[in-house]
Amino acid sequence: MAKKKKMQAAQAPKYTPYDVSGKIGGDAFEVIGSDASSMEAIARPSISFMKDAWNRIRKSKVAIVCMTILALIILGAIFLPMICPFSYEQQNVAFQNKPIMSPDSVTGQMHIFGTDNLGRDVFARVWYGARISLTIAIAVALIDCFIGVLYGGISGYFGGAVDTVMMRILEIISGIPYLIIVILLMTVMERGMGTIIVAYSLTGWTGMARLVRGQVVSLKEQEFVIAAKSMGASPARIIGKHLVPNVLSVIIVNITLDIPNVIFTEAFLSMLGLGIAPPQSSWGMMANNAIQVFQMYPTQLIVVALFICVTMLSFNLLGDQLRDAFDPKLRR
Amino acid sequence: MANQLRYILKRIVYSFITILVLTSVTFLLMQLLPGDPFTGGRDIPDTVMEALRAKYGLDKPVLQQLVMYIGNALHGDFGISIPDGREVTDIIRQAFPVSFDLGIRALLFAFIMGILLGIVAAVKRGTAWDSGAMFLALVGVSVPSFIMGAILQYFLALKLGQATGTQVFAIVGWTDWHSKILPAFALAFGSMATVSRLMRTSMLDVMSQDYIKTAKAKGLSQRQIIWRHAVRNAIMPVITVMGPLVAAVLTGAFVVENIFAIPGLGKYFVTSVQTNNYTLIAGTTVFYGTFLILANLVVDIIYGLIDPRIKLTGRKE
Amino acid sequence: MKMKKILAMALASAMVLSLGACGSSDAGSASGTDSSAASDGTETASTAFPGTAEEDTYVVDLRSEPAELNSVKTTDVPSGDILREIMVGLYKLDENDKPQPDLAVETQVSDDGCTYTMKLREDAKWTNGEPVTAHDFVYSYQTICSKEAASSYAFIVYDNLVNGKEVYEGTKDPSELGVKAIDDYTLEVTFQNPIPYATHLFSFASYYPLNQKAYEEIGPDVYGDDADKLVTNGAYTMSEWVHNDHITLTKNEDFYDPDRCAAGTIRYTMMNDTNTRMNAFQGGQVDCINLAADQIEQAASLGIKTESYVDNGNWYIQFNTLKTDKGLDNANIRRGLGMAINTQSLCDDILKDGSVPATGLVPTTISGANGEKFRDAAGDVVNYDPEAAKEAFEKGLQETGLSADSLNLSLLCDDLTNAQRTAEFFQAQWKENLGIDVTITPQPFKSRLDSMDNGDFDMVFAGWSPDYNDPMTFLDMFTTTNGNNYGKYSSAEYDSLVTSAMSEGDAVARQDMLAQAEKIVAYDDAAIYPLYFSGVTYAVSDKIQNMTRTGFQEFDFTDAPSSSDNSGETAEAETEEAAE
Repeated sequence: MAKKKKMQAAQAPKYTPYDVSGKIGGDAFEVIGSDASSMEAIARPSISFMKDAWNRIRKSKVAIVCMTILALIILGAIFLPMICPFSYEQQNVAFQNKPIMSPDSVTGQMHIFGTDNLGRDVFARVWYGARISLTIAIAVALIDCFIGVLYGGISGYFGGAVDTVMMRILEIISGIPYLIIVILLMTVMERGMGTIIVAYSLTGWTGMARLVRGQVVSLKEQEFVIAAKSMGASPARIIGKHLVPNVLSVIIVNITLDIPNVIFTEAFLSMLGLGIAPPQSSWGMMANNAIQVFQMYPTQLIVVALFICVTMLSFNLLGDQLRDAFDPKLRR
Repeated sequence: MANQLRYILKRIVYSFITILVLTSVTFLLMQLLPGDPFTGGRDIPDTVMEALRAKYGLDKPVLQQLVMYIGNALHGDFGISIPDGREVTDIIRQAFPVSFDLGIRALLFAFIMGILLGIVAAVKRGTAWDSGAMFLALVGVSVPSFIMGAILQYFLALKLGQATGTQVFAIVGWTDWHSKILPAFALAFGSMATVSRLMRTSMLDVMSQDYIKTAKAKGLSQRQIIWRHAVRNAIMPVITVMGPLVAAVLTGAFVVENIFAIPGLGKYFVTSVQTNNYTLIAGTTVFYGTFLILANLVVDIIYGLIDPRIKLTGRKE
Repeated sequence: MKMKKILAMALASAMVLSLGACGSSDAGSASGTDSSAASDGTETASTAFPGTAEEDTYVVDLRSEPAELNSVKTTDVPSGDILREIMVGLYKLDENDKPQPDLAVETQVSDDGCTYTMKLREDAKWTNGEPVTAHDFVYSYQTICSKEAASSYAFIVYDNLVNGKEVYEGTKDPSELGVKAIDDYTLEVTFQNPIPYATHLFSFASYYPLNQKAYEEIGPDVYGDDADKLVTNGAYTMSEWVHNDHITLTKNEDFYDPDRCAAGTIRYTMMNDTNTRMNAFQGGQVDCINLAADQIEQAASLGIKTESYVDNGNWYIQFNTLKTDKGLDNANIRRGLGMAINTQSLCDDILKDGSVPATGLVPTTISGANGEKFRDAAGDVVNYDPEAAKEAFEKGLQETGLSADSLNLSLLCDDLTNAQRTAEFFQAQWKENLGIDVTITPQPFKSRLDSMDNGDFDMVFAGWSPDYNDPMTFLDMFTTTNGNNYGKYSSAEYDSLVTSAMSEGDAVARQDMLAQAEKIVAYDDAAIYPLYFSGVTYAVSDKIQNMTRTGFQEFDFTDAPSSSDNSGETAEAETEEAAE
C-alpha cells in the first residue's frame, strides 16, 4: 500500500510558485512541494504492542518495586531453604513457640523468625512454604489460563448453539461442590503438590473462560475480524492471530490476579485439613496453625501473614499496572 | 421487546436444564465419596446397616435413587438430612435468611465502599488519594478472610470492648447491629477490592469520553459531571461482576460464619460433604446452583436493559 | 453410646491444656469435688471473669449442634449432653460416674443376674401431662429394636435383651423382646447374659423411655428436630432451639425433684472456632468453654480458672497385620514402632490438655472388680523406651529379613490440625529413635474410616471411647471377627480369653482374663499400641457451680438423686456399686 502511494506522489506535477512582490526575495524560500511520502511516514519508531507495554511498565515505579519483591521472594524460595541451618521439618519440641531472634537451645544458631508449636524453625518453614505455595499458585494460574483461553475463545467465537452449550457446561462445573471434587481426587491420587494443582485447576479455569469469552464476543464483531474472515482466514487462525493477541492484556492481568486466589484457596483448604501433606509447609497451612495461637504468640502469624500480604499486594499491584500498561486508550 | 422476552424465556429453560444436569452430576459424584453417611468410629453390624440404608433409600441402584430424588424435588421434597433427621428444606429455610441478611449487608458494603473508593481514586488520579484508596482496597484482598475475621474479632470486638467498657461490636452472634457490622465487614473486604478497582478503571475510561468533555465545556461543576454523567456510565461494568460476587460472598460465608458463630447456610456446604450427608449435599447444591445461575441470568438481563449496546439475543453466525 | 464421640474427641484434642493435674485414677471425680467446693465457698475464688450477666443462667459452650435428640436414634455426644438434662431414665450417673437409681426406686436382680425387676416412681410426668410408666420403656425398647426406626445404636439394645436379634430381624414378635410391663409401674428387663454394667446401661440415652402418644403424634421422622417436636420427662425442659446457634433449657417446675437443677436456665452455645470461644469467654458471653492446647497457657496468664478431666478416650496406633511386605505381621516390629514414641513429651509438649501417657489399652477411669479401677488392678502394660524399641525393631527386621530403608511405612490420620500435628510428632520420633522415614496420610474422617475398613493403610492413628463403663468395651474390639479389628489381628489365645470372660460370672476371675488379654493385644503382640488417655481442659467463670464434667458425662447440671430415695434392695451384683 505504502509503496503505491509513494509512486503516485512522485508522478504528481510540480507545484508552481506564484510571484510574490515583497521584501523577501523569491530565493529566500525554496519550493519543496508537498511530499506525500513524508506525510505518510510514521514519526515514531514502529514498536510492537508488547514492547510498548513493557516500556510503560519500566517507567512505573510501582511495577518495578513489585517485580523486584516478587523476584526476591522467588529467589529466596529457591535458595534460602538450601542454606538455612535448620530444615523445615526438624523438631525440637522442648523449644517451641519461641519469639523472633531466639538462639537455638542446642546449636545456638539463630531462629530469625522464632519457632512454631513443634519447635520448628519458622524461617525455614516460611521459605519452604513459599516454594510450595508459589509453585502451586503459578502452575494453577497457567493451567487455568490455558484451558480458560481455549474454552472461552472457542465458545465466544462460534457463538450460537456451541456457545450456549459450552456456557451451560461451565455453569454446571462451577456449580458442583468444590469440596467433593477435592476429596475425591485426594482419594484417587497420592496426597501432594500434584494432586493439589490438579484439584485447584479442575474448576479454577471457569473464571478465565468466562472472561475470555466475553472479550471475544465483543471483539469478533469488529472490523478487523470481519476483514480477516472475508479474506478467508480459518477460525483457528482468527482466534490465534487476531482474537487472542487482543485479549492478551486481560489474560495477563487475570493471571496475576488468579495467583493470589489460588494461594487463598490453598489456605482455605489447609484450614479444612485438605492441604499439602505434613510435615511439608505451605503458607496456608502455616497461617492456619498460627491463627490458632496468635493471641499468645502473635509473631508466628505476623511472619506468615506478612509474606502472604506482601506477595498478594505485589501480584495485585503488578496486575493493576499491567492493566494500565496494556490499555490501548492510555497509550501515548 | 418481544425478542428480549423470548431470549429471557429461553434462558430460563436453559437454566432449568442446567440445574437438572448439575443435580445429576453432583448426585452421582457424591456417591463416590469414601465412606457412607452412617459410618462412625464404631463398626455398625451389617443388619443395622442394611436397615439404615433401606430407610433412606440407599439400597436401591444409584440411577433409581436419582430419578426418585428429582421426582421428589420437583414436588418440593428434598428429603431428610441423614444424621439429624431434619428436612432439608427446613434447614435451608432456617439458615438461608441469616446468610442472605449477612450477604446483602456485605454486598451493600462492598459496593458502596468499593464504588466510592473507585471514584475517589479515579478523580484524584495519580495523587496520594489514588494510591491511598487503592492500597486500602488491596489490603482487603491480600489478607485471607480467616485471618481478617479473627483479627477483627479480637481487636475490635474483644479488646475495644474491654478498653471502653461498652460492647460496640459483639463478639459472636447475629442479633442486633452490634453483632452485624464486623461479620459483614469481614465478608465484604475481598469483594470491595474487586469493585473499587473495576470502578476506578471504568471511571477513568468514562472521564476521557467526549460527552464528559462536552459537559465540561458547558461549564457544569465538577460534582455534577462526576455524579450526573460519569458515575452513571462507569457503574455498568461493575454490575457484570455482581453475579460472581454473589457466589463468592455466599461460599466465603463459611469462614466468617464460623468465626462469629453465625447460624447461616455456609457451614452446610462444608459439613454436608465432610459427613457424606447425601441429601443435604444435593439440597445445598441445587439451591446454590439455582442461585448462581439465576444471579447470572438477572445480571445479564439488567445489563441488557440498561445498556442498549449489548444485544441479548446474540446474533447467529 | 459414644460412637460419634470419636469424632468429637478428635475435635476436642485440637484444643486443650493440662496443668498435669489429672491423670491419676480419681481424675473422674476431680471435677465433681471441685464443683462442690465452689458451691460451698461461694465467693472465695473470684477471678476477673465473673461470667455472663443474666442471673440464674449458665451459658455453656457445646461446640457443635446436637445431631439427634430422638433418644431412639441418638449417637452423638452433644445430643447426649442435652438429653441428660431433659430426660430421666431408670438410673442416673452421679458425679463419679456411678449409676444411682432414678426412676427405678427399687431394683431386684434375679439369681442368674439376667433379669432386672424395677419398681418405678409414680410421680414422674411427661411434658405433655402423661405419667411416665413402664409401658414407655417397653415402647422405647421395642421401637429401637425395629428396622423401621433406623437406629444406628439398635445393637446396643438388641445385643443385650433376650430375643433382641430375632425381634430386630422380624423373626419374632416385638412382644417377645426381653422387656415387660408387669403393671404400670413395674418393669422387668431380661438380658441374654449377666451384665456387670447393666445399671450403667440403664443410664444411657438408648435406654430412656419414650412417650408413645407424643412420638406418634409428632411423627418418628421429625421427633426431636425442634424444641416443640419433643416431649420430655426430665429436670429441665427445652424452651428454645435456634439451630446451630443455641439451645435454652429451663427448670421444669413439674419435675418430681426440682431442687436438682443447678440453675434456672442453662443456655448451650455452639461455637466451632477455638479463638471465638476464648474471645467470647473473655468478653463475658459464656461461662464455660473447652480450651485448646496453647490456650491453656493463655488462660493461666490471664488468671482464668481452669479445670480438667480424663475423658475415657484412648488414642493408639493400630497396625495392619496383613502388610507382610512392610513387616507389620511381625510383633517385634510393631512393638518397636509403638515403644519409640515419647508419650510423656507428647502429653506435655504437644497435647498439653490434661491427656496422660497410656499405660494400657483400658483408660484409668474404667471400673474393674471390687470397686477398684481396672487400670490399677492390671498394672502398666505399655511404656516409652527408645532402647528397647530399637532392639525390638532390629530383631523384627532380622526375623523378617527386611531392611529399615525398604519399609516405606505410612501413617493414616485425621485431617484435623491437631491430629496432623500429633502425627508429625510421631514422624519425628520414629526418625529419631528408629531412624526410619514414615509418611503421613491425613484424610477426612469418613475417608479415614473407609480406608481402615478396606484395609488400605499401614498404620492408623485412631481413638476409641467406651460405650459403657467396663474394660470389655475396649478389649472385645480386636477379636478375630470383630468389625472394629481393622488391622485383621488374629490370636486364638486372645480370642479365647475374651470369649471366656464374657460368660464368666466371677468378677475377679473375669478381670484377670481381661488383664491377660490386654497384655497380649497391646504388648506381646502389639496389634495396637496405646499412646495416651485423652483429657479435656476447660475454663469456667466464677458463676458456675454444681457442674459435673466426667468421661461419661461431658456436661451435667443436675445433682444425682440422693441415695436415701432408694432404700430398697439395690442388688447390683457385680458392679462397682458395691464399693460405694
